[in-house]
Amino acid sequence: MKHLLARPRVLLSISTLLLAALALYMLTVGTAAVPIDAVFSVILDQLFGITSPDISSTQQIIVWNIRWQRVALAMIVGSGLAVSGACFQTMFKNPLADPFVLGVSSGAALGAAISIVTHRTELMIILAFTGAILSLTLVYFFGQRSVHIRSDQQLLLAGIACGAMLNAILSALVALHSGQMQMILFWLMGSLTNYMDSLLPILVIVVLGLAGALLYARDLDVMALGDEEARFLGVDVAKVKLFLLVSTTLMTGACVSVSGIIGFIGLIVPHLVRKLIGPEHLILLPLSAICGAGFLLLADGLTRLVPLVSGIPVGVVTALFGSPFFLYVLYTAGRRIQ
Amino acid sequence: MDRSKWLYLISGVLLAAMLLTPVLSTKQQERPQQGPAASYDKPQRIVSMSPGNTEILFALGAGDRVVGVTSYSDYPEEAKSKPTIGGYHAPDVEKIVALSPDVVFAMTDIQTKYIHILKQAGIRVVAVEPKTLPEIIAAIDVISEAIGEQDRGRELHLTLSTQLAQVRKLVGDAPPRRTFLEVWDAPLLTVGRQSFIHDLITQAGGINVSADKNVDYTPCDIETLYAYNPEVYVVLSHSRNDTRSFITGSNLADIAAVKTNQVFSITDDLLQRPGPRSFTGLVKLAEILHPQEMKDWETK
Amino acid sequence: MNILQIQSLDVGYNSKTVLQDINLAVTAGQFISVIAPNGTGKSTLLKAIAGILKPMSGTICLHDKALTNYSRRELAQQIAVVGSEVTMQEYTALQMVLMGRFPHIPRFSGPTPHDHTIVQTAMEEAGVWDKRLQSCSELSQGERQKIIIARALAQQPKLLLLDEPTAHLDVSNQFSILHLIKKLALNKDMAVIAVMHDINLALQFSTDLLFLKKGRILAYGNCRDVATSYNLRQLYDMDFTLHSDAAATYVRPNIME
Repeated sequence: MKHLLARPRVLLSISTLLLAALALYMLTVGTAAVPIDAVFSVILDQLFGITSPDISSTQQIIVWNIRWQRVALAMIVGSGLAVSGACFQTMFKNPLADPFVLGVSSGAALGAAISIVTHRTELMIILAFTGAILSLTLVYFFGQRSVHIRSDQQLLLAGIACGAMLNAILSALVALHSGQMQMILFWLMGSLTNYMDSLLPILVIVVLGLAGALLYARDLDVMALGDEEARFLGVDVAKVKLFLLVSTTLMTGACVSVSGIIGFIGLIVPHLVRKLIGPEHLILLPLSAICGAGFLLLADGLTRLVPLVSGIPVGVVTALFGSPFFLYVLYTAGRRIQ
Repeated sequence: MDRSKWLYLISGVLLAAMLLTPVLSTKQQERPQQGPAASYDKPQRIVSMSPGNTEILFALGAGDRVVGVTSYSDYPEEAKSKPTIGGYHAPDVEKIVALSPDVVFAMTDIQTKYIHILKQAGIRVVAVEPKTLPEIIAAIDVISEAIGEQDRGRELHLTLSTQLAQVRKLVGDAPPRRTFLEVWDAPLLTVGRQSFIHDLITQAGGINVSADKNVDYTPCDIETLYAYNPEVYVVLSHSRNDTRSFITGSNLADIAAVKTNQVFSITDDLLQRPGPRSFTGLVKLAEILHPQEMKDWETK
Repeated sequence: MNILQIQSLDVGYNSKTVLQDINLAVTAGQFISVIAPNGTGKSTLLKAIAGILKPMSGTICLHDKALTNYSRRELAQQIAVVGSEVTMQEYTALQMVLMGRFPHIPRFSGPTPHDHTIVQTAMEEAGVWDKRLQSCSELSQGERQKIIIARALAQQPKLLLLDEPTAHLDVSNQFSILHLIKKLALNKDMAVIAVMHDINLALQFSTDLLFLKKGRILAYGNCRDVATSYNLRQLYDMDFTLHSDAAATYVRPNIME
């Protein structure tokens, strides 16, 4: 394993293959009983046009339209959230930061809730995304007073305050429209069944976000030493932070608007990967993306494999596994200080 | 190093294929060929995505053709034995598709995205969401047309609209009674004017005291209830042994409804499920609000 | 040619002036120790020279070009700053020192073998090459300080700024680091400005001394010329006794009985 860790390119390739295998396996998982050979026939048909006579079009629809979209969405959202979390943890030098720390999720939730209570659910994704962007604008406006050394803290505080305010508005909305409470709650808990016309926009946003973060991977490494030390080493800290802030927020906003609030991926996965291969961002970011995708695939798969948790939204499952892990990290960190 | 480059390339291509193909191929699927074209006019495999739609389907005599219902579709009795497709907030699309339905009946508002994916999958979806009693009758027309039960549909249409007209004739002239309808006791929840139940109250000869609220359900507190001072207090009971209610739990002896012993209870299904039984609910509500005018009503 | 030229510099924070009328010319080979009582603004001077703090008036020129005309990246190619970093990082020593090449590596490419050679040389000179694969958080204070110095060296700067580089180190580490810095100043055509807290250490290794008092230059020049009991009394309001031997000059404060 150590030998593998010393060859990052190989590690990345192998993890990508594992992810692809996991995704293919997830295509066979679902409430409708589709035999494995049927799944493969559908895949061969769609990818290479090799039609097989004995698969019914029903099976085709299930595997292709329904499951594949879900699998692709899980991979896109999982990777987007993990990369955002990794960036935020470095940018704020805070191991507890996650993509929602600046209140983006609250803005998106409010947007989605508005679409629900005004009975315009076809606008849900657009309104959620708008809410996410607006909340960031608010946070950035209040959090960036000057190029002070302490502006990180100010940004985080503004994020907390704006998030709280938006949550309050959301709660008020829910209280006034109790009839839609269940629907809003379901959205909040996160799901991968928000089917949409095309996954292309969100794929583009997440891929661009990852590419942008990779572009500044070495800057992020240097920034991890401290803002001042980074400036001494030639990093344009203000510019890099602004760029990363905007791109990760777009990524997070896109993910949240299509899948609701799926927590803990942005928090846990970067930590896990860091423990595995260290903090170098050129490997941390892509591997976090891959592991985030895999993690969400697994969580979603669990909701479909285990009948006990089949009704539970995927965001709850990630939290169910995230919290004990989080506690474990706190515990070991505390031990090390002693 | 050469070998790892190939590894890299293959895994990258595979991943790209996995992600891009569903994204790029948004072509609509052809409708699954189930049988002769007659199945369009008289669909043999029907799925209902709401309890109300289930009741309508059974009332139209198509119960034997129903192959899937939502988990709370418990009326009539036969509906309980049908395969379930999940709750109506988060139905399991896979299960619906696996049932190979000829037509699926959904709710317009809260099931938009599921309607979307089903249509994309080439499945025929008919969406209705009646918010008033006349809209229920219209929905029955749509559904009966879709399943090829036009005759039964016309019959039901006639029965129900007659029922409605008769109730209106009997209670329409009597002074409407101020009514508070308790949907839930803790927290106290009542209905605003966007609620289906609001329409029921109005048609039954009542005035919804919280009609000023432009929402469907709305919370209420004891002071506001006191200020409303309703003449009639109706409690929705949610199960056979459910006798809890806000009014009995509190000491609101001064409210008109309590003073004149006008506190009643109705099964929630009759008022919360837009379907044929809503008209039974209408009658029951009218009997509560205007017992004198309704005393000659024959119960079928 | 002067590496650094400071003229009539006033610098401070939030319209409060910390340093006034600073004039300084620095050439290669110099090792200047900045000595001042606490709170005089030694770190402020370093921040101004590094381009972090904008002057209120006056100019700072690097290679006869005003600091403000350099980009952040260009500055980092010329000036390296060593503080006493306390952040524990999980990066390996090698990764840490490689970051010193950041200003020299263009955005869309990675480190070249040339960069790696520079890093190795820097680490060998600092005596930390054998620890290159170890995580920084596992190393001692002294080793970490050496790694940071190696990183500064990997920047291949013309001007090395140090802010109390030996603050948390034991005696042997103090000596080995200062010895290294002095050797590099001479051999690498580099100038060194170091804020020092220990005047004796400064005397042993620097070529020049800069005394700051109340935000102004009290004295600047050759060690021997500046370290007089008169100047020291002005600086610290205390009497000092000077001892000299073949190796160096030592000062000792007179303790009142």
